[in-house]
Amino acid sequence: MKNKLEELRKQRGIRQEELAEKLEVSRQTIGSLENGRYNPSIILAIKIARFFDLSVEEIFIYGEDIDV
Amino acid sequence: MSKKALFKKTERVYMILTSLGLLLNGSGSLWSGLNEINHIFEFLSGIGCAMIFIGVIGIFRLRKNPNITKQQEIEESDERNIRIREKSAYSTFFITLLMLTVAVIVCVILGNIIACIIINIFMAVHVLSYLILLHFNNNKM
Repeated sequence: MKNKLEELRKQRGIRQEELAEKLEVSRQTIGSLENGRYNPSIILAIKIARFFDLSVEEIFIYGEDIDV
Repeated sequence: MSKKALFKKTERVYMILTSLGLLLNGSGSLWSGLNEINHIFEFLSGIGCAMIFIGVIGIFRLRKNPNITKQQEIEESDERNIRIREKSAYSTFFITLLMLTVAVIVCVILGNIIACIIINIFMAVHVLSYLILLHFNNNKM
């Protein structure tokens, strides 16, 4: 699953540490999410979407939808 | 939980640990002096020392950086960390099983039947507890 987390974070000028603190996760989790090494749980995906004021689908792109 | 409450709770845990360590160390030292044949009291005294060490270092670290509790809480509840721990524990289960199997084979070759039986019991408990927990968690989720 791909995501626009890094892009959105940089657009808003937030550091990984700050985002991690807001979402109550570790900085490593943010790094792994941005690199696509780790897929978040639904709860974390919703938390991220709410933080950026977007829908989950706008941030996370499911594998099958990439080529569409 | 608020930051202050978490700080106090963690500090209390470290203080209890230190007190228990002091108690174990004191009683262990006292009894090992009286009963020189039984080394269990020396062992208890050693455990007490370790508990004092962990407790004192914990209190020192906590007072030096009060935010450490919040960081620790995040590290504990972080979903990626939880998944890493689960994955590691799952792999460790099979590694332990493999090592126990190797130990049984070695014991059979060496002709140590008692050790072989004990290891087999450990293996059975290991696998049974896994199956019971699997069933329990299956019903829970």
